[in-house]
Amino acid sequence: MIQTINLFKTYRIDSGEVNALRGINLVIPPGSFNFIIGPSGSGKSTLLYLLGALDRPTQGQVIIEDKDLNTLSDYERSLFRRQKVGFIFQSFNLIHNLTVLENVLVPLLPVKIKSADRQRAIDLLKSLGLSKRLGHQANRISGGEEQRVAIARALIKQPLIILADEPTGELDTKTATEIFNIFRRINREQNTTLIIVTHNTKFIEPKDRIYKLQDGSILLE
Amino acid sequence: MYNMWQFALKNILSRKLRSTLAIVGLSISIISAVCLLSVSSSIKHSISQTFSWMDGLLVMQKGSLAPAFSTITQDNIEIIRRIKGVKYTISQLYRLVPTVENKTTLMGGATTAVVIMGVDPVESSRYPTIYHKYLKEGRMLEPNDTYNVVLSRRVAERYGKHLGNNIKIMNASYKIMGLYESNSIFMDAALIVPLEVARRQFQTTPTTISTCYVSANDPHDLDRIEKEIETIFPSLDAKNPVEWANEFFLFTRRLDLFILLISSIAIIVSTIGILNTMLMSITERFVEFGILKANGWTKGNVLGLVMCETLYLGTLGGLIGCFVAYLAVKILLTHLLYIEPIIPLWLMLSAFVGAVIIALIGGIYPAYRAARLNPIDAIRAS
Repeated sequence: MIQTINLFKTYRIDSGEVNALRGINLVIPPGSFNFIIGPSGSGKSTLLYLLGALDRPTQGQVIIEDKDLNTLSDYERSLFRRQKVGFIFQSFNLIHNLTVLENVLVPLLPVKIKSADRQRAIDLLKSLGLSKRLGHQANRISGGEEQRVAIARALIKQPLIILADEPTGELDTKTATEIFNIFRRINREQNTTLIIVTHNTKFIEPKDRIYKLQDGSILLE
Repeated sequence: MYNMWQFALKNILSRKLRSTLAIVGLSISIISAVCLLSVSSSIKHSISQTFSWMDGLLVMQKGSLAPAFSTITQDNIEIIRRIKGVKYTISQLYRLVPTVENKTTLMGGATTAVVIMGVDPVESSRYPTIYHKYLKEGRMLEPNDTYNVVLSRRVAERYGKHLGNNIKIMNASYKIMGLYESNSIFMDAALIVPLEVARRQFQTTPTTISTCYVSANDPHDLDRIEKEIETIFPSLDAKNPVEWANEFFLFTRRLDLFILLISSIAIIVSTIGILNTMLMSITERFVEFGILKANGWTKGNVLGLVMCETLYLGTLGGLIGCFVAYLAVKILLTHLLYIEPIIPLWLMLSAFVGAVIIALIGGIYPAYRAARLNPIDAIRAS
């Protein structure tokens, strides 16, 4: 279960302070499919990064599996992300001098990759329709394929949570639909909790949980 | 790809031009250090070798760095000969030769300089020198020889001469009676002529010589004989070959310091080159490092990756630098300076290890910067 308690995040800029999040309280059940929506600058991405231990709140707590992320050191937070969290970004952010398969294996490099890991990566890519792209350079595939590689990279460590920040922002409608179908399948088959930041509400289904943010506060849950 | 090392190698290979330039910059500093120090070692070795055939004393004018700059008198030698324990003496006159075959000998610098070595043919036939051992064609000087010369094959080839030809040394013509080959640039410079002819050639007094070689009945007596010579003749220096070589090495020590200074500057420039290369690489890969951290890479992992990359640069730079330096020293010394190349193994190993250390030092700050990157800044920048 993911819980935030009175979460605040303030950024200092030259002209003063920006309150990106103001007192966010959330409870996200395990295995749920969640959307965080809202206008630009409402704090959606900030909330996502706090949930993924990429940043620390100015005030408040993020508790995941009964562990307060604030109490973790930088090293422990890195390990938490390595083991429990998969990130998917709008710009895919693959490493272009690596192949598709090598990109998927990047999260496992610090701990030495075994043959079983490599096979799991191949199986993941096959399940995402990329069996013919394993040896292709990451800068030689389409946008939709890149995002699928990014999804495989997020899944390789079998995370508890997948955090996706505008995952279909740079894709056409058809490809975006394919990506969300993949998300649905992952959520259904692996019971992975998905938290997706998006402007695109057409993919929301009735049983999904929706959090609407405005000016750093939750308007709707 | 299964590990960080392969990932690091891919990163290096994906930026070929930049990696190549960094490696070239590093290897140039290694090449310059190894070449300069090897040339110095080789010259010292050649000097030691030149003196090594002597097991007696060499007497010269005090303060003379080389025989060609020394002037002593044969009268002194007669007294030295009578010192207890002296077995025999060999007197020689050395003078730099300004022209051979009407060509200035110093046009090529030290590598083409030649000296006349005037010897008494009677003495040298009775007490053979190292030149007898190196004789390849013809014969050494004999008592009735006048304008006859024994010279090195290298000098003969330089002037297109063979055994039996005449060669013009300054304003006199000499017949070539013998050719020797010592493979020492210093020894090969000698044109061996009768002592009296050398005195006439350089218009010295009838008793002028440059050096005297003193042999002892018992080699353990040499120290005593040396002290006695220097007591009787305060204007003379009598030293064994090791002491003469050390005199020369005092001069080369300054040269070595200069070489170290030049090499240090080259090393600093290489370190800055590596630092610049890696900083540029880190800046370009800002987003990539952010993604790695988002995927659970720790600061230590990121630092390790960058240090792996600099280690590759250092290893390649060191290997290439040592290899090219080895070839350059071999070619330069063998074919241009005619000195046996001495490339100590400790020098090559030190140069290689030095290259790796230079690269690692240059990579520390960029690695630190990459490890400290805020992943959110990187992700937002993408």
